[in-house]
Amino acid sequence: MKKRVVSILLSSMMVLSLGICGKAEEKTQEEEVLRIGCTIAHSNFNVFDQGGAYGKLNLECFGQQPLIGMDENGELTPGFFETFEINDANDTVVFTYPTDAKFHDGTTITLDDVLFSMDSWMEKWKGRGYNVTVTDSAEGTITCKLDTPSAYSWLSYGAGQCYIAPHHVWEKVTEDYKSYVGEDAHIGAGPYKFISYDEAAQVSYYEAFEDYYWGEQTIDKVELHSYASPENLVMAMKNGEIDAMYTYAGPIPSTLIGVLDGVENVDLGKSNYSGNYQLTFGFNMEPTKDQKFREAVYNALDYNLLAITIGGNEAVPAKKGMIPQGNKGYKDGFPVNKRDLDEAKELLDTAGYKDVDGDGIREDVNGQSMQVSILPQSGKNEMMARLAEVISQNLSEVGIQCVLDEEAIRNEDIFNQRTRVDKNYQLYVGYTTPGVADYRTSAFYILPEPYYQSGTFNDEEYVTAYQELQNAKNTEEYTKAAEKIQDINAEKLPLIALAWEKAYFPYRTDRFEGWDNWPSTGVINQETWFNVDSIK
Amino acid sequence: MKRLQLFREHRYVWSGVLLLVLILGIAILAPYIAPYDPWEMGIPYLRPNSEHWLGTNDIGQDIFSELIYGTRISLFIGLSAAFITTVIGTTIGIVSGYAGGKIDRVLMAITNLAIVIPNLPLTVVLVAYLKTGIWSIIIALCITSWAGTARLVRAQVMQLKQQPFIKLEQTLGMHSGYIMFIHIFPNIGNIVFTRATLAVASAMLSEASLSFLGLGAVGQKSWGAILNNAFFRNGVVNHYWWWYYPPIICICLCVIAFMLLGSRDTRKNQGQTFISM
Repeated sequence: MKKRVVSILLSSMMVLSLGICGKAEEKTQEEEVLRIGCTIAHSNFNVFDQGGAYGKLNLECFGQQPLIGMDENGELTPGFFETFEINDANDTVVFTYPTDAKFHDGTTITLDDVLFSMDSWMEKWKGRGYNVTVTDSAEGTITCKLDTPSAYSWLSYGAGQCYIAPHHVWEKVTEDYKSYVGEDAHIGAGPYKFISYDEAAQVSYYEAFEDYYWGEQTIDKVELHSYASPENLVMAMKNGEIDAMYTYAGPIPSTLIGVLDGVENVDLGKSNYSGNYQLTFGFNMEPTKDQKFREAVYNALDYNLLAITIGGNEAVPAKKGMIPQGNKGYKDGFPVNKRDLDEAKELLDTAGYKDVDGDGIREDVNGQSMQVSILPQSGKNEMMARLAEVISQNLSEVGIQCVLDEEAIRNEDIFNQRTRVDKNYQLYVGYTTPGVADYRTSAFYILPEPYYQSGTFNDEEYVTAYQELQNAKNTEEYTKAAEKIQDINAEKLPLIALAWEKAYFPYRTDRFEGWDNWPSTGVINQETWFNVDSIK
Repeated sequence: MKRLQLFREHRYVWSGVLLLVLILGIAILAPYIAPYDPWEMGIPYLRPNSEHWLGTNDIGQDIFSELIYGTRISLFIGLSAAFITTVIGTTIGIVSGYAGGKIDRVLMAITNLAIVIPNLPLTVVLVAYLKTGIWSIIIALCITSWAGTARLVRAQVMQLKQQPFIKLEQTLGMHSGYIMFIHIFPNIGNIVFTRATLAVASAMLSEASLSFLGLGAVGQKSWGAILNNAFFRNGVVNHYWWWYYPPIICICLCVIAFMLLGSRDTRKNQGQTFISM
């Protein structure tokens, strides 16, 4: 009996100690892994696929090494190319790169890889309006020439989102690069290399690349967790399942911030947001091509309500100049958008949009019934539809009858037909992503082809100013052109920014320190891998 | 005394009737009962207070007024869809059951096909392809919901067809249409009525589901649409119970009302007596 009791006690102690050891080991492991959450599904682990969770995170110099980097103010910084020199004509760039840098599989990056990479991204650059040719090359340097004076713009909007890729891996791939799913598809030269992917858990695992040339990583391991919705991500953050979040152009909606507000060890990661929602006018249709009508619409909108709908109490009405405060190229001095119903009614009366039959709804200048359609942008439909509802209600208060283009909301084919083929929309509720806001401004979305497929504002002065923006050689020239665009926008009103909002990229402060919250990007940015460290 | 006994016997039915009268009253008198125009926009995200009993939504619309106006859409869709599906289902069931033979086989093949297709996904697809609006939802619900009634009615008609009074009418050479709709139909009235009340409840639930999925017209005030807005504007995770509980309660009450109304006939059918006209 005694023996039995002793043996039971001993076995219990052993089991208990094993449990404690397991827990301790688990805790140590847990502490050195940075867990990032996102709301993009995992798709392909491939250098050329930028659609899935891995592809998006690579935009922040994660698994892949960008050709050029960019700091939090949108200024160009070295990437794979250590130096870049733009000539005075702004059409040629001379790059240099390290000759002893390595890919994740241990092979050295050669000129052959550089030329292959440049060639692979040509189509993407062409799609963005940059025709690039490599005119000269030698081990350690290459020279690129563009057929337009837009080298600075190309580096900002093109090269930064492209990576160095190993030729020896891709030369055997005959299919479309983006769809290649071979085990070596992920091999790149970024600070972290892909290890494995748990499809059931929607988690991918990464380890620091030991031969990384451009700096020493402070975090050994990274996990990337995909969540089905922002709600799930926020709850995971609240429960400590993840340390930070990253979603390209997708901060947490303001309506979810209340869930994390006041939670211990959680910072809301608030910053100015460079993107914005906007109302665009169609210039192929009456009455929206009529400036007086546009001004009436401008005066009829309830900007305070729109701001709250878009970004909660932190959002504010935008200004007539449309580029958000804090963005590159922002010009101060424009009036804040403000509702003035009397002014709106007077503008409509003087322009001839009168209520002829006395039913409370205005007719067009010919006395015919007038119904203005509102088309919300496809993709972000729920918010867009809500904004369209507010705009419709606002305009009805000055006698403009609006109808939501529900067919186009439901059916993407109809939407594309309306916006890209017929281009016969009148009011269009759209959205400028931070990426476009930083390099092109929201003006991009109203310009006609070849600039934007759906734009209809073919104003010579505006197009010229935009061209100057594209051809800017440096930040000063870019700012000058952006200021001109804002002046024209305030005068001719082809586009109304609906609100300026704050971006929230929440993160936890209990396991890691050294976070740097970049505006519109959050704490997961190009510097994270070299600055953030576990709290000892 | 007899009336009281009658009320006690059918107390569930009467509860349903009372509830329905109340709901119908709210729907009809919505413009007079609602404290605000449900489309009028004010201060967003107000909590329940003396001015806004159920607070306001994300664009400042009074939720209580939305709820009252929502009764109209939900009831209209429920009643219209139920009426049409009942007419279609009953007609097919009577014709199929009475005619028999090839007609029966063809009609039942179509009915069986309609039964095996999952209702909600098909309705979602139909609504997405039809022009947006209340009638699209009604049409989609009608296309997918008539089959159950048809099967049930057919079974009842086949049984009735064997009754002596029907045989007698056939022998007398009465027109089939006359027999079907003047003699057979009154005898299946209870079943049809029960199916109709259940169809209303089912159609209302389907409407709520479709609107919740964002397939209703934008800006339309229905209970499902209120729920959709509460959900996508994160009212649920923020615990804005005054936004998402009321439409759920309204949907439940309405469905219960119709179910109670239909309960009488289900039990009555257990002791069948046939009407000969």
